[in-house]
Amino acid sequence: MSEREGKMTKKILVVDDEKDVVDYLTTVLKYGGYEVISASNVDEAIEQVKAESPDLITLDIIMPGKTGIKGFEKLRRTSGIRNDIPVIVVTGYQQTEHHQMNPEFLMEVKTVPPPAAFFEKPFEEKEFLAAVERALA
Amino acid sequence: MEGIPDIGFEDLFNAVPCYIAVLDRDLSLIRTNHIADEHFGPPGGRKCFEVFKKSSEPCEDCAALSTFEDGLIRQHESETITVDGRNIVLLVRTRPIRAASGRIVAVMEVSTDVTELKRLQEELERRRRRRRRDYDHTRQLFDEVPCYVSVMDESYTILETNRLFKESLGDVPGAKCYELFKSRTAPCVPCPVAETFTDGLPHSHESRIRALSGREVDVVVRSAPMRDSDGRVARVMEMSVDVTEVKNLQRELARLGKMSAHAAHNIKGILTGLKGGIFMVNEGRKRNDTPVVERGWEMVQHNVERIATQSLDILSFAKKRVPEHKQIDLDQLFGVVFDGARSAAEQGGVQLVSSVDPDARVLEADPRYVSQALTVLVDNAIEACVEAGDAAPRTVTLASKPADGGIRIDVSDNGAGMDEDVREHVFEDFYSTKGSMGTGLGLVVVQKIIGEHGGTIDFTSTPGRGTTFTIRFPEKTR
Repeated sequence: MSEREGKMTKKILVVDDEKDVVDYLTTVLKYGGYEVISASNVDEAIEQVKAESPDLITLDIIMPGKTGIKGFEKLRRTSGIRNDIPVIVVTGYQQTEHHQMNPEFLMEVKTVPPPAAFFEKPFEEKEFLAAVERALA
Repeated sequence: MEGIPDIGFEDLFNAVPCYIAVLDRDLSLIRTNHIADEHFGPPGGRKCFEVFKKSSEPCEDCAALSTFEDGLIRQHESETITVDGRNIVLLVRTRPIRAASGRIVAVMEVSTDVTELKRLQEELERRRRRRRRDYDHTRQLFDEVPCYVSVMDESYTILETNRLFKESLGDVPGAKCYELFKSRTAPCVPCPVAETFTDGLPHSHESRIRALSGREVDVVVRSAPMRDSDGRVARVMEMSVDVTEVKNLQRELARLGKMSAHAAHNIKGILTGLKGGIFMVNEGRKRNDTPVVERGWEMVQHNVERIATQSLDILSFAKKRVPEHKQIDLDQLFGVVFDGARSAAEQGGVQLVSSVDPDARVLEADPRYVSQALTVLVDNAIEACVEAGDAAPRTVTLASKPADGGIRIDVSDNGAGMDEDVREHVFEDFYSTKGSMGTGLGLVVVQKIIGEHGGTIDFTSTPGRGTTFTIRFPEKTR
């Protein structure tokens, strides 16, 4: 994997409560040629969106104390920030394991743009980068 | 109008619907009426036993001879056979015929055919016996069915119960079902008995009742109408099947399913960490990016440790513990628990304080398990203090006090505290606030251990102010 020219302008916000995952995704994305910032929860992520205007967000949909869908909705519904930033959901759960985590359910949330892609941990780095590229296109 | 002619003795003798025979002392038939001749053949100088019994010998205990002897009227039953081969039963009455001198000169036998009457009597008796037997069987069935059966009237008064009911729930005719089963003062809503009284149909629902032994019993209750002769629902029978074991198995299966799903999820988390670590080591090496290589290696090591922790937690959760009771000096035990937590506490700047009331110093329990439970609580408390930051001095306290004849242990911290969302799920299997680092089993195992000692655990918590877990051990912990 090599850094590609022109990607440095794209800024990606990695949101995950696990430091291991944050560091992993940060490395994958940096080596893929992106600028990466991170947050460990949705509240921090909202602050980062305000301050840094990322081009894409990767969001872990299971975080301590709240279900991921609430986090996604909060990110989408918070006023005063862009609610159309592409979001790639990275989840530890199988997408059908829980109703609230079912992508179809998420897709039904019509009032906000749905996630651009879902990735189930563990995932292939190349596929992940390809999805990022598609979402940014 | 022509007058009614005199009806002579002869006419009456031949018209009565019974057999009449007059015998002399030799038991020879002097006279018989027409119906007797018709059914047994004309006497023709024969003896009564020859005609009526088709026998060559007089009957034993001959009633006619006895009447000749003592002049008393006698009555007995006798079986015989007619000329056309019908077996019949006769009710025979013998009475003396006296001469003017009073001497008995003959005996008159009047016999009525009671064959049909006897048949009906026997049938009646057979039916009575069958009904008795049916009733006994029904009663036996009622008593022996392996469920609680009761019969209730419209006011929910228990009129009748079966044996299992009496043994398990009490022999209390006249009690109201809702008082007995539910300790309520009014009928339950919904109530299958009420529904059956209303629509005359069977109804069923699941419920939980308390047995005489104090055991909570899960039951499937089914009500059925009992109608009177007008078809009106006069009573309702309630049959409750004990499904506690099935329910426990269901809960256990659900728990196992949840545990497997959770374990799979955790393994995926660990795999992600390992995969990430390996990626960083490999890609970092290619780029001579030492910090990334080092961080990647750290991730590999850390995730291998996670495998160990998760396995131990799951094993501890699944383990069936039988506490071995010993006298525990709580002062010493608190010291041991704090020793294990000391380095994390020091790193986080948390002070550990122990307080043992002299009247609550010795606990009879299994020291291994109590120390395991306290360790989980103290570790959580330290983490809550670290999370709260160092804006104030942070303290974790272990304190024992006497309470209700037993011992109470408080594990308190002035750390971050829990919000409502967390408080609601504290003792839920696999619920964790530690993300990938928690198995969500720590407090579940603590609760199990305390329960295995007959104790209880609860807590109070305020966000920003801290948490206190309170364990109450009863006087007798075994």
